[in-house]
Amino acid sequence: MNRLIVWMGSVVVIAGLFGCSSETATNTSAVVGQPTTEGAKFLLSSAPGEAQDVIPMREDVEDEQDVVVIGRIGGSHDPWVDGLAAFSLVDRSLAACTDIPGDQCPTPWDYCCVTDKLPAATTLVKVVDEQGELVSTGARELLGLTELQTVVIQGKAQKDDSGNVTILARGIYVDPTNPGQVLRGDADHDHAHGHDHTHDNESDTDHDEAEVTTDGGEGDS
Amino acid sequence: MCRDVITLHDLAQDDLVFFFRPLPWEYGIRNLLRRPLRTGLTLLALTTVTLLVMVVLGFVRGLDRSLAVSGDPQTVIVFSLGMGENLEYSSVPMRTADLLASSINGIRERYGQKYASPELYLGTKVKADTEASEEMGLVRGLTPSALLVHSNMEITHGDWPRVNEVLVGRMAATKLGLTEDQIQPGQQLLFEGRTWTISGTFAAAGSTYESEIWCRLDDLQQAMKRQDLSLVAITLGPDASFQYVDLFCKERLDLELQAIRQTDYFATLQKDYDPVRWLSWLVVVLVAGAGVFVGLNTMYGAVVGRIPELATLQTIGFSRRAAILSVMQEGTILAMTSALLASIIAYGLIHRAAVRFTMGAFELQIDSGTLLIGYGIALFLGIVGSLPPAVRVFRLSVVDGLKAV
Repeated sequence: MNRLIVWMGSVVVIAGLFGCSSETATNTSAVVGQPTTEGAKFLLSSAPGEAQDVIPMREDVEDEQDVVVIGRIGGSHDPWVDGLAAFSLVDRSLAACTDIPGDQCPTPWDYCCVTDKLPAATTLVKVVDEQGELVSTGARELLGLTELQTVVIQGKAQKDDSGNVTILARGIYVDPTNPGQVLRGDADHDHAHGHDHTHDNESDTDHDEAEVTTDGGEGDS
Repeated sequence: MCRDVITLHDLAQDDLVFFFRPLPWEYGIRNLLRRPLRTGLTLLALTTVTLLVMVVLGFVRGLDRSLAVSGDPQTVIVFSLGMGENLEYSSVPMRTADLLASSINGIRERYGQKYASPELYLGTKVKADTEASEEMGLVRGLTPSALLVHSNMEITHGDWPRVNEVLVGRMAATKLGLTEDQIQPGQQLLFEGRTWTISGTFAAAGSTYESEIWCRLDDLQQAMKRQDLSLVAITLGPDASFQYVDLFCKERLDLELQAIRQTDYFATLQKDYDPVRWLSWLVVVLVAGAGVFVGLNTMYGAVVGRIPELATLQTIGFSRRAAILSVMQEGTILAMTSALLASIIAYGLIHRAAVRFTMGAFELQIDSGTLLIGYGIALFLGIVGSLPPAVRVFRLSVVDGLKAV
């Protein structure tokens, strides 16, 4: 009887403990997928000439101008568009959360520490076919991309009267030196400041002022 | 007892179903009735346990249902970038609704009217009269196009609000801590420095909207001295897809918009309540655990007092398994009777009882799922509560059992 009570009590306690620990932390590298056969046509084997960063490109580019632009994939919790080959590209001068020492943000590609700077430092990339139609496969599956990867886009710019720039991409070069994002914690959690950006060290980095002052190991354009 | 046993022995037949000769069904029933006080108390305890389990399950099911029925897969919410799911803090320009309607192909349309609803949504302090205490209420400023987008909404009493009037959800009284009489048409509510007359009440198929107060968008904007919106809800046609709304928001960076499917929005809210749900399930486990101990205690008492009787059954040829099965039958009958009583009480008194929570109010749901789980747990209590004492008693030899006479 005593053994039975102990056994049943243990079951209840263990069940309770598992029930309360639904948010298990992970710290695993994201697996970058392989491009599809269709997507491989868009991938370039070498960098297509001198590339501009996103911010200067947005300022200088004219509508319908051919451009080569470099940036990192991100800018929101979900920088992709489901079922369409389109994604947001952010200027490399902005610091993702992974660039801030000790930051534990589980979705570092949303640049949540510099959200006020994002509108002027982001552009949308649409991968288009020979007819200029947006490819109807998600960019991740099509090109094997992942968040925070550095990519060089060759294409044509579309600029509207409000200053929004969209790149119609014909070729994409993926910087092999930047493997992209690292998944941390529960990426599906509420990102409306659901975490407190605790740092491992006691550095007093001001997130709002955080910008990458070096190229962070990324190749020069 | 001896007479019973002899009669049972005569009646007992080989049963190929069990591969042993079971005790007759009536034997277990009669044993329960031989100890009416103990049986009654056990029944009471098990009924309490099962009722508690059903109440907690009703809470979880009610919360889930409230959020699940609130979303329409073809409806998209467009709101400010970076707001997470906090629509109350979202602010988008007034022109956003027209801009979306004119820029996105595939928005559903009826008689030239696009299914695009500009809305101002906030949590604010509401009271029934100047002397009443204030409660946090959810207010939504809308135009009549909201009726197109929120298709499950129906006015149950009164009319669509005119100037300085509000339409009140049927659960708003619970959310605001008011009586049903206080939200009837003609009554008044005070919020945002104005007195609003209730023009009617509405239902929305059990969704979270039912705990809101709806008024005209321009009225609320004037009362709050705001000219912006919180969100625009649009309903897409059958051929349109969410991805093009998402693409538009990501392309028009100057607008600083983001889009989310309405179903995804409520799924996110549901995820926020995961800790509450886990806690509720933990309560179910703990209460059910307590129920198992109640059953164990009672059945131990019942079985230990019948050691000689059970030994006699073995002496006259019934196997140990037959006697164990009979003891389990008693426990199971008790537990299932308690489940029946608990479900009658739960359905009669607790079903659809209103509960207030942060997002509004919802009704406890003693539905088929709740009853199924409740009955399942009762069955578990009956079997697990009676099996160990029965097994323990039959570890004694027949001789030792008979000596206990």
